[in-house]
Amino acid sequence: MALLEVNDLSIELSDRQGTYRIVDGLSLDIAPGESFCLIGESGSGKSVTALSLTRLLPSPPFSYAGGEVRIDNQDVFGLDDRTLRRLRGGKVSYIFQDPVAYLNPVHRVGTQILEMLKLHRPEKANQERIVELLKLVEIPAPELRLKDYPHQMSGGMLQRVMIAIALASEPLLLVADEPTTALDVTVQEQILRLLEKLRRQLGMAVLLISHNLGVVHDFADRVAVMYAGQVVEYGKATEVLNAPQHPYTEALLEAAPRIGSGQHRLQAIPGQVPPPHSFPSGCRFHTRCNLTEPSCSISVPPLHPAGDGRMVRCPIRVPS
Amino acid sequence: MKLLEVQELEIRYRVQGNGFRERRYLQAVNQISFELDRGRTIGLVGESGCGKSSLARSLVLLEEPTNGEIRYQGRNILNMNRAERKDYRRSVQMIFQDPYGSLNPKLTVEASVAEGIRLQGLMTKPDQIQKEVIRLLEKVGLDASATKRYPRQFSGGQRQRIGIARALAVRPELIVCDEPVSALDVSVQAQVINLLRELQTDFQLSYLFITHDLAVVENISHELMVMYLGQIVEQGPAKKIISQPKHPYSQMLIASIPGNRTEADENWSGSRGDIPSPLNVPPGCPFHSRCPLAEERCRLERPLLKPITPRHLVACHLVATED
Ligand SMILES: Nc1ncnc2c1ncn2[C@@H]1O[C@H](COP(=O)(O)OP(=O)(O)OP(=O)(O)O)[C@@H](O)[C@H]1O
Ligand SMILES: Nc1ncnc2c1ncn2[C@@H]1O[C@H](COP(=O)(O)OP(=O)(O)OP(=O)(O)O)[C@@H](O)[C@H]1O
Ligand SMILES: [Mg+2]
Ligand SMILES: [Mg+2]
Repeated sequence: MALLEVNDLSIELSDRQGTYRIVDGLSLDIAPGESFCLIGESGSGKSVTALSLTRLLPSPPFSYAGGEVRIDNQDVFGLDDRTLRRLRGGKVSYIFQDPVAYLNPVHRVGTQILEMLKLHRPEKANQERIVELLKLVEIPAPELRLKDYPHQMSGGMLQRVMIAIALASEPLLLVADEPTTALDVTVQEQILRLLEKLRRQLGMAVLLISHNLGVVHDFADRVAVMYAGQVVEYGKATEVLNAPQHPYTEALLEAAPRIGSGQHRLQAIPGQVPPPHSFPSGCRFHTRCNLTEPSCSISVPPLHPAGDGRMVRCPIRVPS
Repeated sequence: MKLLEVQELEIRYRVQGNGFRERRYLQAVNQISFELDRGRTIGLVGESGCGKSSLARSLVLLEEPTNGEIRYQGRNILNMNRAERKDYRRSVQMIFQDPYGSLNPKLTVEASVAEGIRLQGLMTKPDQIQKEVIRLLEKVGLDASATKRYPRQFSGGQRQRIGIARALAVRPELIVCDEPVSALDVSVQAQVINLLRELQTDFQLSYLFITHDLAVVENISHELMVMYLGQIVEQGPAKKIISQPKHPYSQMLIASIPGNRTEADENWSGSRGDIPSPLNVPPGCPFHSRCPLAEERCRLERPLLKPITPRHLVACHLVATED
């Protein structure tokens, strides 16, 4: 049975000009211990989706416009505030792009891990467990480092501390929203390896958000590709990357320069990602698509099964 | 004659030490030499803080080198007379990572792009300037309707194009590109890279292209420099370094690229360690603290950059010359 189940989730954003559907009919499921990637360009709705899983979006400006989220068989929208607070940082933990923004600069990192333990695992709120967690995230000399303040650590170290804090509650699902985007390539590689090791060792599921297709290749079992608030393709990572079916996935893969392919003209996607107030009618990608037909601008194509768990939102590639 | 020759360039910053009144020096750029021909691109890669932007800024006179020489068409840029210096400022332009920060938000696109034309006195008649601005905007894929709008009304990729139009306005020969596509989504990144390549062919432009993305650098560069803690550790033909990196740091960088992991790498232990602070550059080889191959000698003796083939230089005790 799935650990996380999202069914037909829609989220709206309101501003002075109007109300826009920034996440539209999103469905996905993650099995216990699975690594799942959510991928898409800036503004496609990845972070909003991640935050909505435990109802972390502020309302206003956001509102839930339908759908269901189930975590460990609990209906998240039906939970009372107390249970919801226990879920956040408990069964579901988050790490973000910028650890500095989430760590308290005036407290030692050990103290911050301790706080998390007190909240979610009071029986283990002791120094021994703190050291164990720092060891788990491969911080050298953890007995000494737990006395450090955040400013004494490098970006890569801080992200490790964030992961240690996220692990304190022994979550079933770790949501990592671009955890390596701000880090150097070699450090990024170390953090991704660490997440992979922890996932295997602890059996927790990881939802990794990224805009880098290479990260999906190295990390994910399954992937959902988002464009303008909608999932356009969904399936096993190796299949989606090796044989993309949606024209957007295909275009993304062709636009990215690949190491070892020498000098050549890149296949750029014309135009740019539309902002929410000007999502085109019909298929949201039709204005930039090279397969487009007149019918593409009329109605929003549904996600259509393409075999082996694959779903594709393109009636030209995968006819109903 | 080479368009640009940089010789043993050093840039040192004076920084506050720990103690009261203590002064320390941070060596951001250490003994860097390279040459660039017309119509060619030299890539510069390295991790955060290794000194890439410091080097870039010194080329456009925003930073004064502590030592070394920068020659442009044979003339030392640091002792040029006023007229020569003005012409140098026109010939060498820079585009930045953050296209928003580098455009004046209060100026219309037209005013931004025209600024250099006016300052350099290239044209004076308003209608002539306006025509030129529209021609430039069209060159970078924008149209005349952009002229009266402000930077905030454009997307990141469009702003980067405006930055490029602004640089092109003064007919430069060399453009220093400091992470020009790092903030852009892949779909837009591809548009900007293609544009830079087209402009190179059309105008014989030369680029110094700074990035931390090796796939981007491979796509656009002829030559490549790999920088670590202020020093060049490997330098030579881009294609060769990327397909057969010799320095252990270049190897680590290439193996770290997401999506580049192969079966063969499965027994690779992965990259290790943090980049040391540039205030505490280790003695010996700057990379020894993270190098899987480091020996005693690497901890003591700094390796010199030496040719392993005539055009391919590596600074590593453990790499032998090729015949
Ligand atoms: N706090 C907010 N207030 C108003 N609009 C927001 C806010 N956060 C996100 N949005 C809008 O919601 C949409 C989806 O944003 P989201 O942050 O989920 O994108 P993303 O896919 O995570 O992009 P990125 O790769 O840039 O992080 C965007 O159009 C964005 O402008
Ligand atoms: N004006 C300055 N005064 C003192 N130190 C400086 C100054 N400018 C840069 N530095 C230091 O010099 C080193 C090199 O900085 P530089 O900006 O050149 O690196 P970079 O390679 O461009 O890094 P990034 O990839 O983060 O842009 C860094 O340690 C930086 O902190
Ligand atoms: Mg985001
Ligand atoms: Mg820089």
